[in-house]
Amino acid sequence: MLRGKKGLLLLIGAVLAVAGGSGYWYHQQQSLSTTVQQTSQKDRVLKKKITLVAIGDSLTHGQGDDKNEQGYVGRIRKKLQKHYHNRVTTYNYGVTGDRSDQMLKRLNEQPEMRANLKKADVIVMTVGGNDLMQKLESNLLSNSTNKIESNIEQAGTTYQQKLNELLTAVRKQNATAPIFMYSIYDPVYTYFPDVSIINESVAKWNQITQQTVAQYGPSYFVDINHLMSYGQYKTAKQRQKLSQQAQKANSDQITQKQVIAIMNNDTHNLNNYISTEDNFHPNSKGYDQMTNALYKVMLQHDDWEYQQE
Amino acid sequence: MNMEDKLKKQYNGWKAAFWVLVIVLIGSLLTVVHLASAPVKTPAETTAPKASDTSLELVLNQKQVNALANSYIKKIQKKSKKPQYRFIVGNQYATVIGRAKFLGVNVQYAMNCIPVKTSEGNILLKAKGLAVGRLNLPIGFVMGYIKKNYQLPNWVYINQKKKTILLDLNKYTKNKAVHAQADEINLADGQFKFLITVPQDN
Repeated sequence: MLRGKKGLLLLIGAVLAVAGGSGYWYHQQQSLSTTVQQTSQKDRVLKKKITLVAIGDSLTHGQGDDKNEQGYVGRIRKKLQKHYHNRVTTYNYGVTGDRSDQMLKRLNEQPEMRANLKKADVIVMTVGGNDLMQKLESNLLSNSTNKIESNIEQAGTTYQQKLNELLTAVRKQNATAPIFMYSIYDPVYTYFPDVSIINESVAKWNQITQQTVAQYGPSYFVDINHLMSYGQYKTAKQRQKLSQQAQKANSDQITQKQVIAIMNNDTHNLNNYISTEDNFHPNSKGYDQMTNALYKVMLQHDDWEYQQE
Repeated sequence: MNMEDKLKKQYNGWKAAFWVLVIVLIGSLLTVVHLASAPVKTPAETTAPKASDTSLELVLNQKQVNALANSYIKKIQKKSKKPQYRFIVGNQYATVIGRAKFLGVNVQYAMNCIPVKTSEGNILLKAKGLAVGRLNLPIGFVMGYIKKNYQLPNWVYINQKKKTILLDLNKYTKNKAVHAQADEINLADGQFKFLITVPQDN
């Protein structure tokens, strides 16, 4: 009996040891394989701590996030920590309503912001939305398409200049951390899919941002324009239907009954990713989408997660 | 004053009342939407004068109100080919629907209101919805924007927090040919009563 008991204990011990060992081995293999996949050639050493600095406007601030998870900043931190098993510290310098020049002003005036930027391993930015909005707002009721277009053209040049100044200031603090730059999107696309001024100026803005940030590398452009503007209307056919519905709602034939139906629907946004609070900012689903888009680009270019030799 | 004079005065009163009503109901709504100009004063509702023997009651049904609105709008929009806006009194709401340019594209805007009579016989428009095309806009925000950026007539008061527009009829018609005040506004039953008072010279 005694022998049997001992044997059983030994057996249990052996099983535990094998299980534990194989678990350890399995874990090693797993992390090894992910590392190998990412490096392709040489072994890289993962940083234990990552500092992520986000600079931007309301989109960085997380305006509209009905789950209060700090927009994309809170979400990307969780995703990165889960994936790389290290600690991510985030600094959110997103201020609602800020244009590019106002972000520069903050950077110049806030030593703490500069200090954190200096130690950043990675920088994420949302810029330009308010620069464009301001121009569109002042032309909202204008009759002349030509005039609006030339105004936007001019504003684009100004924006590019300001963005250059902002990025120069960012690079002055931190020359090496990659910048992940979000595009802007059209929050009212689902309502006015055929207002070409908006479509064109959003595209123009994104082109300016992409080209400008490319000169401040390492930098990566995270294009969320179609993702966020189209929302759940992913196919051309769905968007064609949107267009027809918009035309109907904006025709002279609209009835009081139809108007009442529209107004009874005021707690919904046609775009599933846009907040019903202001029909402008992303909601929690929208921030999930934005985060996924950023995460995807970050994983493709993740040198900043590893120690430099 | 003989009978004939009285009748004549009543007739003129009715005619004036017609325009007062039309202008007040439609003009004011459109003024607010279309943003006319005049200085803004501190909101304090003007009290109604007492009804006298020169007062008469004007009773209109929904069809008549809408007919008045149509003819008025047609008249003032004669120059343009298509009407730029419409005013529709339904069972639930009074609605202004109009066309506007939004970044160079034609859009339709609409505002739903529930008009109610105040104790002083003025009209309080409770805005219930504001939309451009299929897009609902925050009423308080738009009202605040209008109030801040445009000058409204001194008898029109916007309260963006309560989302109301007060049309001070007593103030508006104080020095007019006739004085008008709302007596009953009943959208559901389509009944609209106004008390018209012709000032007496003595």
